[in-house]
Amino acid sequence: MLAVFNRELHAYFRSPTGYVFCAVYLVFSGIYFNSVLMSGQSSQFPQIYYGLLNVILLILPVLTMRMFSEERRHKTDQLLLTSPISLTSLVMGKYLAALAVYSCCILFTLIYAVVFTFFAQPSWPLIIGNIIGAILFGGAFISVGMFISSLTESQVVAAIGAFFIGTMFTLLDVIPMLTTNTFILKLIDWISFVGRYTPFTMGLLDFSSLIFFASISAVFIFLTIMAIEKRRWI
Amino acid sequence: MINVKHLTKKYGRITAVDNISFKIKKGEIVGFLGPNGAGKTTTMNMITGYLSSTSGSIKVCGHDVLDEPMEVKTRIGYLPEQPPLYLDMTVEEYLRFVCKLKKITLDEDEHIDELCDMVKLEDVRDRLIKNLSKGYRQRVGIAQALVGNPPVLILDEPTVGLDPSQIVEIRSLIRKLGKRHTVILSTHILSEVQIVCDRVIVIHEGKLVADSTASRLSESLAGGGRLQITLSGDISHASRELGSISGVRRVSEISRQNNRADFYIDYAQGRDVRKDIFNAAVKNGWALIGMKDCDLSLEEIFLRLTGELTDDDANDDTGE
Repeated sequence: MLAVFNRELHAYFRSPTGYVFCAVYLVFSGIYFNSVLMSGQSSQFPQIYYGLLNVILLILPVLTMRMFSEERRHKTDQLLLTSPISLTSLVMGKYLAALAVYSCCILFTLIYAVVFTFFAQPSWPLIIGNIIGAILFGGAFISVGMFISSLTESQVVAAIGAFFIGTMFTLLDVIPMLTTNTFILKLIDWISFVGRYTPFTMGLLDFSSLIFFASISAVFIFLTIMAIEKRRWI
Repeated sequence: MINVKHLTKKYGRITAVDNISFKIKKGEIVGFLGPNGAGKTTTMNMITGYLSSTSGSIKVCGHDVLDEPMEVKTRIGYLPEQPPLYLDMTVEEYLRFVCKLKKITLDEDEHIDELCDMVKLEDVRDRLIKNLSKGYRQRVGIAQALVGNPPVLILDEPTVGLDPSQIVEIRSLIRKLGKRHTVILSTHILSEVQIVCDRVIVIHEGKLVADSTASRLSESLAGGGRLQITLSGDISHASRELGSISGVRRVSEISRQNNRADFYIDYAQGRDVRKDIFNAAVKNGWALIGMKDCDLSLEEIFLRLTGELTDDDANDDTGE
Protein backbone atom coordinates (compact mmCIF):
# COMPACT_ATOMS: atom_id res chain seq x y z
CA MET A 1 0.00 0.00 0.00
CA LEU A 2 2.82 2.38 0.88
CA ALA A 3 4.41 1.84 -2.53
CA VAL A 4 1.17 2.77 -4.31
CA PHE A 5 0.63 5.72 -1.97
CA ASN A 6 4.11 7.12 -2.66
CA ARG A 7 3.82 6.55 -6.36
CA GLU A 8 0.46 8.38 -6.47
CA LEU A 9 1.69 11.37 -4.48
CA HIS A 10 4.67 11.50 -6.78
CA ALA A 11 2.39 11.38 -9.82
CA TYR A 12 0.24 14.28 -8.57
CA PHE A 13 3.27 16.51 -8.27
CA ARG A 14 5.15 15.32 -11.35
CA SER A 15 2.24 16.39 -13.51
CA PRO A 16 0.54 19.77 -13.27
CA THR A 17 -2.54 18.12 -11.71
CA GLY A 18 -1.52 18.49 -8.07
CA TYR A 19 -0.23 22.03 -8.49
CA VAL A 20 -3.28 23.18 -10.43
CA PHE A 21 -5.56 21.68 -7.81
CA CYS A 22 -3.74 23.32 -4.91
CA ALA A 23 -3.38 26.63 -6.74
CA VAL A 24 -7.07 26.87 -7.61
CA TYR A 25 -8.14 25.89 -4.13
CA LEU A 26 -5.79 28.36 -2.46
CA VAL A 27 -6.80 31.20 -4.80
CA PHE A 28 -10.45 30.68 -3.95
CA SER A 29 -9.83 30.28 -0.25
CA GLY A 30 -7.82 33.50 -0.38
CA ILE A 31 -10.67 35.30 -2.09
CA TYR A 32 -13.19 34.00 0.43
CA PHE A 33 -10.94 34.86 3.35
CA ASN A 34 -10.45 38.33 2.03
CA SER A 35 -14.08 39.02 1.26
CA VAL A 36 -15.52 37.51 4.43
CA LEU A 37 -12.98 38.44 7.04
CA MET A 38 -11.38 41.56 5.66
CA SER A 39 -14.02 43.28 3.58
CA GLY A 40 -16.94 41.87 5.56
CA GLN A 41 -15.24 42.69 8.86
CA SER A 42 -16.62 39.50 10.37
CA SER A 43 -15.02 36.59 12.16
CA GLN A 44 -17.27 34.05 10.55
CA PHE A 45 -14.78 31.34 9.62
CA PRO A 46 -17.60 28.88 8.91
CA GLN A 47 -18.73 31.11 6.08
CA ILE A 48 -15.37 30.64 4.37
CA TYR A 49 -15.43 26.88 4.58
CA TYR A 50 -19.07 26.74 3.64
CA GLY A 51 -18.40 28.77 0.54
CA LEU A 52 -15.39 26.65 -0.28
CA LEU A 53 -17.56 23.52 -0.41
CA ASN A 54 -18.72 24.51 -3.88
CA VAL A 55 -15.14 25.04 -4.97
CA ILE A 56 -14.26 21.60 -3.64
CA LEU A 57 -17.09 19.96 -5.55
CA LEU A 58 -15.89 21.77 -8.64
CA ILE A 59 -12.20 20.92 -8.48
CA LEU A 60 -11.98 17.57 -6.68
CA PRO A 61 -12.81 15.74 -9.93
CA VAL A 62 -9.41 16.97 -11.15
CA LEU A 63 -7.77 14.82 -8.50
CA THR A 64 -10.02 11.81 -8.89
CA MET A 65 -10.42 11.62 -12.67
CA ARG A 66 -7.00 10.13 -13.28
CA MET A 67 -6.99 7.59 -10.46
CA PHE A 68 -7.93 4.49 -12.43
CA SER A 69 -8.79 5.83 -15.89
CA GLU A 70 -5.19 6.77 -16.56
CA GLU A 71 -3.92 3.37 -15.43
CA ARG A 72 -6.27 1.68 -17.80
CA ARG A 73 -5.48 3.99 -20.69
CA HIS A 74 -1.74 3.41 -20.31
CA LYS A 75 -2.24 -0.28 -19.46
CA THR A 76 -0.26 0.18 -16.26
CA ASP A 77 -3.11 -1.52 -14.44
CA GLN A 78 -1.67 -4.73 -15.87
CA LEU A 79 1.39 -4.20 -13.72
CA LEU A 80 -0.60 -3.42 -10.59
CA LEU A 81 -3.09 -6.22 -11.01
CA THR A 82 -0.46 -8.86 -11.74
CA SER A 83 1.68 -7.81 -8.78
CA PRO A 84 1.37 -9.56 -5.44
CA ILE A 85 -0.57 -6.77 -3.76
CA SER A 86 -4.21 -7.03 -2.81
CA LEU A 87 -6.83 -4.94 -4.55
CA THR A 88 -7.78 -3.41 -1.23
CA SER A 89 -4.30 -2.06 -0.57
CA LEU A 90 -4.09 -0.82 -4.17
CA VAL A 91 -7.37 1.10 -3.88
CA MET A 92 -6.60 2.34 -0.37
CA GLY A 93 -3.15 3.52 -1.44
CA LYS A 94 -4.66 5.59 -4.21
CA TYR A 95 -7.49 6.88 -2.06
CA LEU A 96 -5.21 7.96 0.76
CA ALA A 97 -2.84 9.71 -1.65
CA ALA A 98 -5.67 11.81 -3.08
CA LEU A 99 -6.95 12.47 0.42
CA ALA A 100 -3.48 13.55 1.50
CA VAL A 101 -3.16 16.09 -1.33
CA TYR A 102 -6.61 17.42 -0.53
CA SER A 103 -6.01 17.53 3.23
CA CYS A 104 -2.79 19.49 2.73
CA CYS A 105 -4.77 22.14 0.84
CA ILE A 106 -7.36 22.30 3.60
CA LEU A 107 -4.69 22.56 6.28
CA PHE A 108 -3.16 25.46 4.37
CA THR A 109 -6.20 27.50 5.34
CA LEU A 110 -4.95 27.33 8.94
CA ILE A 111 -2.58 30.09 7.88
CA TYR A 112 -5.56 32.42 7.65
CA ALA A 113 -6.55 31.56 11.17
CA VAL A 114 -3.03 32.26 12.35
CA VAL A 115 -3.03 35.58 10.52
CA PHE A 116 -6.36 36.29 12.12
CA THR A 117 -4.90 35.94 15.62
CA PHE A 118 -2.96 39.15 15.05
CA PHE A 119 -6.21 41.08 14.89
CA ALA A 120 -8.71 39.19 17.00
CA GLN A 121 -9.31 36.03 18.91
CA PRO A 122 -10.54 33.31 16.54
CA SER A 123 -12.69 30.50 17.85
CA TRP A 124 -10.33 27.56 17.52
CA PRO A 125 -12.88 24.79 18.11
CA LEU A 126 -14.93 26.26 15.30
CA ILE A 127 -11.97 26.34 12.93
CA ILE A 128 -10.86 22.82 13.80
CA GLY A 129 -14.42 21.58 13.47
CA ASN A 130 -14.61 23.12 10.02
CA ILE A 131 -11.35 21.59 8.94
CA ILE A 132 -12.32 18.12 10.15
CA GLY A 133 -15.67 18.53 8.41
CA ALA A 134 -14.07 19.65 5.17
CA ILE A 135 -11.68 16.70 5.20
CA LEU A 136 -14.48 14.20 5.85
CA PHE A 137 -16.65 15.82 3.20
CA GLY A 138 -13.81 15.73 0.68
CA GLY A 139 -12.88 12.18 1.62
CA ALA A 140 -16.39 11.00 0.84
CA PHE A 141 -16.42 12.89 -2.42
CA ILE A 142 -12.98 11.54 -3.41
CA SER A 143 -14.26 7.99 -2.95
CA VAL A 144 -17.20 8.76 -5.23
CA GLY A 145 -14.90 10.27 -7.85
CA MET A 146 -12.52 7.33 -7.57
CA PHE A 147 -15.37 4.92 -8.15
CA ILE A 148 -16.41 6.78 -11.30
CA SER A 149 -12.79 6.78 -12.47
CA SER A 150 -12.66 3.01 -12.06
CA LEU A 151 -15.60 2.65 -14.44
CA THR A 152 -14.12 4.37 -17.46
CA GLU A 153 -10.96 4.57 -19.49
CA SER A 154 -11.56 8.23 -20.28
CA GLN A 155 -10.39 10.83 -17.80
CA VAL A 156 -12.80 13.35 -19.30
CA VAL A 157 -15.77 11.07 -18.68
CA ALA A 158 -14.53 10.40 -15.15
CA ALA A 159 -14.21 14.13 -14.44
CA ILE A 160 -17.58 15.01 -15.89
CA GLY A 161 -19.21 12.12 -14.03
CA ALA A 162 -17.75 13.22 -10.71
CA PHE A 163 -18.58 16.84 -11.45
CA PHE A 164 -22.17 15.86 -12.27
CA ILE A 165 -22.59 14.00 -9.00
CA GLY A 166 -21.01 16.90 -7.10
CA THR A 167 -23.49 19.30 -8.67
CA MET A 168 -26.34 16.96 -7.84
CA PHE A 169 -25.27 17.05 -4.18
CA THR A 170 -25.66 20.79 -4.10
CA LEU A 171 -28.89 20.74 -6.10
CA LEU A 172 -30.27 18.19 -3.67
CA ASP A 173 -30.60 20.90 -1.06
CA VAL A 174 -32.91 22.90 -3.31
CA ILE A 175 -35.52 20.13 -3.36
CA PRO A 176 -36.83 20.75 0.20
CA MET A 177 -37.90 24.20 -0.95
CA LEU A 178 -40.08 22.66 -3.64
CA THR A 179 -41.92 19.97 -1.74
CA THR A 180 -43.63 19.32 1.55
CA ASN A 181 -43.63 15.55 1.26
CA THR A 182 -42.25 14.46 4.62
CA PHE A 183 -40.67 11.30 3.28
CA ILE A 184 -38.68 13.13 0.61
CA LEU A 185 -37.70 15.81 3.10
CA LYS A 186 -36.44 13.20 5.49
CA LEU A 187 -34.58 11.35 2.77
CA ILE A 188 -32.91 14.52 1.49
CA ASP A 189 -32.01 15.51 5.00
CA TRP A 190 -30.42 12.12 5.47
CA ILE A 191 -28.34 11.95 2.30
CA SER A 192 -27.50 15.63 1.81
CA PHE A 193 -23.74 16.09 1.95
CA VAL A 194 -24.09 19.78 2.69
CA GLY A 195 -26.68 19.12 5.38
CA ARG A 196 -24.39 16.59 7.00
CA TYR A 197 -21.59 19.08 6.86
CA THR A 198 -23.51 21.85 8.66
CA PRO A 199 -22.89 20.62 12.23
CA PHE A 200 -19.14 20.86 11.68
CA THR A 201 -19.47 24.50 10.69
CA MET A 202 -20.91 25.14 14.10
CA GLY A 203 -17.94 23.54 15.74
CA LEU A 204 -19.93 20.44 16.65
CA LEU A 205 -18.30 17.04 16.25
CA ASP A 206 -21.57 15.42 15.21
CA PHE A 207 -21.10 11.69 15.52
CA SER A 208 -23.82 10.71 13.05
CA SER A 209 -22.35 13.01 10.38
CA LEU A 210 -18.92 11.61 11.02
CA ILE A 211 -20.24 8.08 10.61
CA PHE A 212 -22.16 9.18 7.53
CA PHE A 213 -19.11 10.51 5.68
CA ALA A 214 -16.94 7.60 6.81
CA SER A 215 -19.47 5.07 5.61
CA ILE A 216 -19.95 6.84 2.27
CA SER A 217 -16.19 6.60 1.79
CA ALA A 218 -16.16 2.95 2.82
CA VAL A 219 -19.04 2.07 0.51
CA PHE A 220 -17.47 3.72 -2.53
CA ILE A 221 -14.04 2.27 -1.79
CA PHE A 222 -15.72 -1.11 -1.67
CA LEU A 223 -17.59 -0.41 -4.92
CA THR A 224 -14.31 0.62 -6.57
CA ILE A 225 -12.72 -2.67 -5.55
CA MET A 226 -15.74 -4.51 -6.91
CA ALA A 227 -15.67 -2.55 -10.18
CA ILE A 228 -12.03 -3.50 -10.76
CA GLU A 229 -12.62 -7.08 -9.70
CA LYS A 230 -15.61 -7.30 -12.01
CA ARG A 231 -13.54 -6.37 -15.04
CA ARG A 232 -11.57 -9.57 -14.62
CA TRP A 233 -14.76 -11.53 -14.93
CA ILE A 234 -16.38 -10.01 -17.99
CA MET B 1 5.90 -25.80 -13.59
CA ILE B 2 2.83 -24.53 -15.43
CA ASN B 3 -0.16 -26.76 -15.83
CA VAL B 4 -3.13 -25.53 -17.84
CA LYS B 5 -6.18 -27.71 -18.06
CA HIS B 6 -9.24 -27.22 -20.27
CA LEU B 7 -8.88 -23.47 -20.18
CA THR B 8 -11.77 -21.57 -21.73
CA LYS B 9 -12.54 -17.87 -21.88
CA LYS B 10 -15.76 -16.46 -23.27
CA TYR B 11 -16.53 -12.81 -23.88
CA GLY B 12 -20.29 -12.89 -24.11
CA ARG B 13 -20.95 -15.12 -27.07
CA ILE B 14 -17.43 -14.93 -28.44
CA THR B 15 -15.12 -17.72 -27.35
CA ALA B 16 -11.63 -16.25 -27.19
CA VAL B 17 -9.91 -19.32 -25.77
CA ASP B 18 -11.45 -22.70 -26.32
CA ASN B 19 -10.54 -25.67 -24.14
CA ILE B 20 -6.75 -25.32 -24.17
CA SER B 21 -4.59 -27.73 -22.16
CA PHE B 22 -0.80 -27.86 -21.92
CA LYS B 23 2.03 -28.41 -19.49
CA ILE B 24 5.26 -26.50 -19.37
CA LYS B 25 8.31 -27.94 -17.65
CA LYS B 26 10.91 -26.03 -15.71
CA GLY B 27 13.51 -24.25 -17.84
CA GLU B 28 11.61 -24.51 -21.10
CA ILE B 29 11.24 -21.61 -23.51
CA VAL B 30 7.81 -21.99 -25.00
CA GLY B 31 6.47 -19.92 -27.87
CA PHE B 32 2.81 -19.16 -28.36
CA LEU B 33 2.41 -18.79 -32.08
CA GLY B 34 -0.73 -17.50 -33.67
CA PRO B 35 -2.11 -14.72 -35.84
CA ASN B 36 -3.51 -11.57 -34.25
CA GLY B 37 -6.67 -12.29 -32.33
CA ALA B 38 -5.87 -15.98 -31.89
CA GLY B 39 -6.16 -15.86 -28.10
CA LYS B 40 -2.49 -15.69 -27.15
CA THR B 41 -2.79 -12.56 -25.04
CA THR B 42 -5.99 -13.75 -23.40
CA THR B 43 -4.31 -17.02 -22.42
CA MET B 44 -1.34 -15.15 -20.98
CA ASN B 45 -3.59 -12.74 -19.12
CA MET B 46 -5.35 -15.67 -17.54
CA ILE B 47 -2.10 -17.30 -16.44
CA THR B 48 -0.98 -14.06 -14.79
CA GLY B 49 -4.32 -13.64 -13.07
CA TYR B 50 -5.17 -10.38 -14.86
CA LEU B 51 -8.23 -12.01 -16.37
CA SER B 52 -10.34 -14.79 -14.98
CA SER B 53 -11.11 -17.92 -16.93
CA THR B 54 -14.64 -18.99 -17.78
CA SER B 55 -13.73 -22.57 -16.99
CA GLY B 56 -10.67 -24.75 -16.58
CA SER B 57 -7.77 -24.52 -14.20
CA ILE B 58 -4.27 -23.02 -14.21
CA LYS B 59 -1.53 -24.08 -11.82
CA VAL B 60 1.80 -22.30 -11.57
CA CYS B 61 4.47 -24.02 -9.47
CA GLY B 62 1.71 -26.10 -7.92
CA HIS B 63 -0.42 -23.09 -6.90
CA ASP B 64 -3.85 -22.54 -8.40
CA VAL B 65 -4.30 -19.08 -9.94
CA LEU B 66 -7.78 -18.69 -8.48
CA ASP B 67 -7.19 -20.15 -5.03
CA GLU B 68 -3.76 -18.69 -4.30
CA PRO B 69 -3.40 -15.66 -6.58
CA MET B 70 -0.69 -14.02 -4.43
CA GLU B 71 1.49 -17.14 -4.49
CA VAL B 72 1.20 -17.26 -8.27
CA LYS B 73 1.78 -13.55 -8.78
CA THR B 74 5.03 -13.57 -6.82
CA ARG B 75 6.31 -16.29 -9.15
CA ILE B 76 5.49 -14.64 -12.46
CA GLY B 77 7.16 -11.75 -14.23
CA TYR B 78 4.88 -10.39 -16.91
CA LEU B 79 5.58 -8.14 -19.86
CA PRO B 80 2.25 -7.26 -21.47
CA GLU B 81 1.95 -6.34 -25.12
CA GLN B 82 2.23 -2.67 -24.22
CA PRO B 83 4.86 -2.33 -21.47
CA PRO B 84 3.11 -1.04 -18.32
CA LEU B 85 5.32 2.00 -17.83
CA TYR B 86 4.68 5.18 -15.88
CA LEU B 87 5.86 7.82 -18.28
CA ASP B 88 6.35 10.43 -15.57
CA MET B 89 8.99 8.38 -13.73
CA THR B 90 12.66 7.85 -14.46
CA VAL B 91 13.83 4.34 -15.22
CA GLU B 92 15.36 3.96 -11.79
CA GLU B 93 12.35 5.34 -9.92
CA TYR B 94 10.12 3.03 -11.89
CA LEU B 95 12.20 -0.07 -11.14
CA ARG B 96 12.32 0.87 -7.46
CA PHE B 97 8.56 1.17 -7.47
CA VAL B 98 8.21 -2.27 -9.06
CA CYS B 99 10.62 -3.70 -6.45
CA LYS B 100 8.41 -2.37 -3.67
CA LEU B 101 5.26 -3.49 -5.44
CA LYS B 102 6.60 -7.02 -5.74
CA LYS B 103 7.92 -6.92 -2.17
CA ILE B 104 11.28 -8.34 -3.13
CA THR B 105 13.61 -9.47 -0.39
CA LEU B 106 16.81 -8.93 -2.38
CA ASP B 107 18.94 -5.86 -1.85
CA GLU B 108 17.18 -3.22 -3.92
CA ASP B 109 20.20 -1.21 -5.11
CA GLU B 110 22.16 -4.28 -6.06
CA HIS B 111 19.20 -5.85 -7.81
CA ILE B 112 18.49 -2.73 -9.89
CA ASP B 113 22.16 -2.50 -10.87
CA GLU B 114 22.03 -6.10 -11.97
CA LEU B 115 18.83 -5.61 -13.98
CA CYS B 116 20.11 -2.47 -15.71
CA ASP B 117 23.27 -4.30 -16.58
CA MET B 118 21.40 -7.30 -17.94
CA VAL B 119 19.07 -5.39 -20.27
CA LYS B 120 21.59 -2.59 -20.94
CA LEU B 121 19.79 0.32 -19.34
CA GLU B 122 22.71 1.99 -17.54
CA ASP B 123 22.84 4.89 -19.98
CA VAL B 124 19.22 5.86 -19.46
CA ARG B 125 18.77 5.13 -15.75
CA ASP B 126 18.10 8.75 -14.86
CA ARG B 127 16.01 9.63 -17.89
CA LEU B 128 12.25 9.98 -17.79
CA ILE B 129 10.55 7.01 -19.42
CA LYS B 130 8.48 9.50 -21.42
CA ASN B 131 11.63 10.49 -23.31
CA LEU B 132 12.83 6.98 -24.14
CA SER B 133 12.63 5.35 -27.55
CA LYS B 134 10.44 2.35 -28.18
CA GLY B 135 13.38 -0.03 -27.92
CA TYR B 136 14.46 1.29 -24.55
CA ARG B 137 10.89 1.26 -23.27
CA GLN B 138 10.62 -2.38 -24.26
CA ARG B 139 13.82 -3.08 -22.32
CA VAL B 140 12.47 -1.29 -19.27
CA GLY B 141 9.40 -3.48 -19.65
CA ILE B 142 11.58 -6.59 -19.68
CA ALA B 143 13.56 -5.34 -16.67
CA GLN B 144 10.26 -4.83 -14.87
CA ALA B 145 9.27 -8.43 -15.58
CA LEU B 146 12.62 -9.63 -14.23
CA VAL B 147 12.31 -7.80 -10.92
CA GLY B 148 12.63 -10.30 -8.09
CA ASN B 149 13.95 -13.03 -10.41
CA PRO B 150 10.61 -14.80 -10.76
CA PRO B 151 10.87 -18.44 -11.87
CA VAL B 152 8.32 -17.89 -14.65
CA LEU B 153 8.54 -15.15 -17.27
CA ILE B 154 5.63 -14.36 -19.55
CA LEU B 155 6.46 -12.06 -22.44
CA ASP B 156 3.74 -10.92 -24.80
CA GLU B 157 5.21 -10.15 -28.23
CA PRO B 158 8.50 -8.89 -26.80
CA THR B 159 10.02 -7.93 -30.16
CA VAL B 160 7.12 -6.07 -31.73
CA GLY B 161 8.00 -2.59 -32.95
CA LEU B 162 11.74 -2.93 -32.45
CA ASP B 163 14.33 -2.37 -35.15
CA PRO B 164 16.18 -5.40 -36.54
CA SER B 165 19.30 -5.04 -34.39
CA GLN B 166 17.19 -4.62 -31.25
CA ILE B 167 15.18 -7.69 -32.22
CA VAL B 168 18.37 -9.75 -32.43
CA GLU B 169 19.49 -8.37 -29.07
CA ILE B 170 16.20 -9.09 -27.30
CA ARG B 171 16.06 -12.59 -28.76
CA SER B 172 19.50 -13.45 -27.48
CA LEU B 173 18.57 -11.97 -24.12
CA ILE B 174 15.50 -14.21 -23.97
CA ARG B 175 17.64 -17.25 -24.82
CA LYS B 176 19.95 -16.28 -22.00
CA LEU B 177 17.03 -15.84 -19.60
CA GLY B 178 15.80 -19.29 -20.54
CA LYS B 179 18.70 -20.78 -18.63
CA ARG B 180 17.41 -19.44 -15.32
CA HIS B 181 13.70 -18.97 -15.93
CA THR B 182 10.82 -20.78 -17.51
CA VAL B 183 9.77 -18.52 -20.35
CA ILE B 184 6.53 -18.22 -22.27
CA LEU B 185 6.55 -15.76 -25.12
CA SER B 186 4.01 -15.03 -27.77
CA THR B 187 4.66 -14.00 -31.32
CA HIS B 188 3.17 -14.09 -34.74
CA ILE B 189 6.53 -14.47 -36.40
CA LEU B 190 7.34 -18.05 -37.31
CA SER B 191 11.10 -17.55 -37.59
CA GLU B 192 11.23 -15.99 -34.12
CA VAL B 193 9.85 -19.18 -32.62
CA GLN B 194 12.38 -21.24 -34.52
CA ILE B 195 15.25 -19.10 -33.27
CA VAL B 196 14.23 -18.62 -29.66
CA CYS B 197 11.96 -21.40 -28.47
CA ASP B 198 12.45 -25.02 -27.48
CA ARG B 199 8.81 -25.72 -27.96
CA VAL B 200 5.92 -24.21 -29.88
CA ILE B 201 2.27 -24.06 -28.99
CA VAL B 202 0.22 -22.96 -31.95
CA ILE B 203 -3.07 -21.27 -31.22
CA HIS B 204 -5.62 -20.46 -33.85
CA GLU B 205 -9.08 -19.05 -33.22
CA GLY B 206 -8.79 -19.88 -29.55
CA LYS B 207 -7.94 -23.51 -30.14
CA LEU B 208 -4.65 -25.28 -29.62
CA VAL B 209 -3.76 -26.67 -33.03
CA ALA B 210 -0.21 -27.87 -32.49
CA ASP B 211 2.17 -28.47 -29.62
CA SER B 212 5.63 -29.70 -30.55
CA THR B 213 9.25 -28.69 -30.79
CA ALA B 214 10.09 -25.92 -33.21
CA SER B 215 12.10 -28.15 -35.53
CA ARG B 216 9.44 -30.85 -35.66
CA LEU B 217 6.79 -28.27 -36.39
CA SER B 218 8.59 -26.83 -39.36
CA GLU B 219 9.27 -30.36 -40.66
CA SER B 220 5.67 -31.36 -40.46
CA LEU B 221 4.60 -28.06 -41.89
CA ALA B 222 7.06 -28.20 -44.66
CA GLY B 223 5.48 -31.40 -45.98
CA GLY B 224 6.69 -30.09 -49.32
CA GLY B 225 7.39 -26.70 -50.72
CA ARG B 226 6.07 -24.01 -52.95
CA LEU B 227 7.28 -22.52 -56.19
CA GLN B 228 6.15 -19.40 -57.89
CA ILE B 229 6.39 -19.56 -61.68
CA THR B 230 5.54 -17.15 -64.46
CA LEU B 231 4.46 -18.47 -67.83
CA SER B 232 3.57 -16.80 -71.08
CA GLY B 233 2.12 -18.15 -74.27
CA ASP B 234 -1.06 -20.17 -74.74
CA ILE B 235 -1.73 -20.84 -71.11
CA SER B 236 -5.44 -21.57 -71.14
CA HIS B 237 -4.87 -25.15 -69.97
CA ALA B 238 -1.74 -24.48 -67.98
CA SER B 239 -3.29 -25.14 -64.59
CA ARG B 240 -4.51 -28.56 -65.60
CA GLU B 241 -1.28 -29.50 -67.32
CA LEU B 242 0.83 -28.39 -64.36
CA GLY B 243 -1.48 -30.18 -61.97
CA SER B 244 -0.97 -33.45 -63.78
CA ILE B 245 2.80 -33.42 -63.15
CA SER B 246 3.55 -36.11 -60.62
CA GLY B 247 4.64 -34.63 -57.30
CA VAL B 248 2.59 -31.47 -57.75
CA ARG B 249 -0.10 -31.27 -55.13
CA ARG B 250 -1.79 -28.07 -55.97
CA VAL B 251 -1.67 -25.34 -58.54
CA SER B 252 -3.16 -21.92 -57.96
CA GLU B 253 -3.18 -19.05 -60.36
CA ILE B 254 -2.28 -15.76 -58.70
CA SER B 255 -2.66 -13.32 -61.56
CA ARG B 256 -3.13 -13.28 -65.31
CA GLN B 257 -2.45 -10.57 -67.84
CA ASN B 258 -3.22 -11.21 -71.50
CA ASN B 259 -1.27 -14.40 -72.14
CA ARG B 260 0.97 -14.22 -69.16
CA ALA B 261 0.22 -15.64 -65.74
CA ASP B 262 1.75 -16.34 -62.33
CA PHE B 263 1.11 -19.60 -60.51
CA TYR B 264 1.86 -21.04 -57.12
CA ILE B 265 2.82 -24.68 -57.31
CA ASP B 266 2.78 -26.70 -54.09
CA TYR B 267 4.77 -29.87 -54.35
CA ALA B 268 5.21 -32.90 -52.12
CA GLN B 269 8.15 -33.26 -49.80
CA GLY B 270 11.31 -34.63 -51.33
CA ARG B 271 10.20 -34.12 -54.92
CA ASP B 272 11.99 -31.73 -57.19
CA VAL B 273 9.40 -30.80 -59.77
CA ARG B 274 11.33 -27.98 -61.41
CA LYS B 275 12.63 -30.09 -64.22
CA ASP B 276 9.18 -31.51 -64.93
CA ILE B 277 7.71 -28.03 -65.02
CA PHE B 278 10.35 -26.98 -67.49
CA ASN B 279 9.64 -30.02 -69.66
CA ALA B 280 5.90 -29.37 -69.52
CA ALA B 281 6.53 -25.81 -70.59
CA VAL B 282 8.57 -26.97 -73.56
CA LYS B 283 5.99 -29.56 -74.53
CA ASN B 284 3.11 -27.08 -74.43
CA GLY B 285 4.99 -24.25 -76.02
CA TRP B 286 4.92 -21.92 -72.97
CA ALA B 287 7.76 -19.61 -72.24
CA LEU B 288 8.93 -20.10 -68.66
CA ILE B 289 9.80 -16.54 -67.65
CA GLY B 290 10.39 -16.99 -63.95
CA MET B 291 10.62 -19.58 -61.22
CA LYS B 292 11.43 -19.11 -57.54
CA ASP B 293 11.05 -20.77 -54.17
CA CYS B 294 8.45 -19.33 -51.84
CA ASP B 295 7.96 -19.66 -48.09
CA LEU B 296 4.57 -20.48 -46.72
CA SER B 297 2.90 -17.51 -45.10
CA LEU B 298 1.80 -17.83 -41.50
CA GLU B 299 -1.83 -17.71 -42.60
CA GLU B 300 -1.31 -20.73 -44.81
CA ILE B 301 0.49 -22.60 -42.08
CA PHE B 302 -2.55 -22.13 -39.91
CA LEU B 303 -4.81 -23.25 -42.67
CA ARG B 304 -2.71 -26.37 -42.99
CA LEU B 305 -2.59 -27.01 -39.28
CA THR B 306 -6.25 -26.46 -38.78
CA GLY B 307 -6.95 -28.68 -41.77
CA GLU B 308 -9.10 -26.06 -43.39
CA LEU B 309 -7.19 -26.51 -46.59
CA THR B 310 -8.20 -29.90 -47.97
CA ASP B 311 -7.51 -31.37 -51.36
CA ASP B 312 -11.02 -30.46 -52.45
CA ASP B 313 -10.29 -26.82 -51.85
CA ALA B 314 -7.09 -27.21 -53.75
CA ASN B 315 -8.93 -28.44 -56.80
CA ASP B 316 -11.44 -25.61 -56.59
CA ASP B 317 -8.63 -23.11 -56.51
CA THR B 318 -6.99 -24.21 -59.72
CA GLY B 319 -8.98 -21.64 -61.60
CA GLU B 320 -10.55 -24.03 -64.05
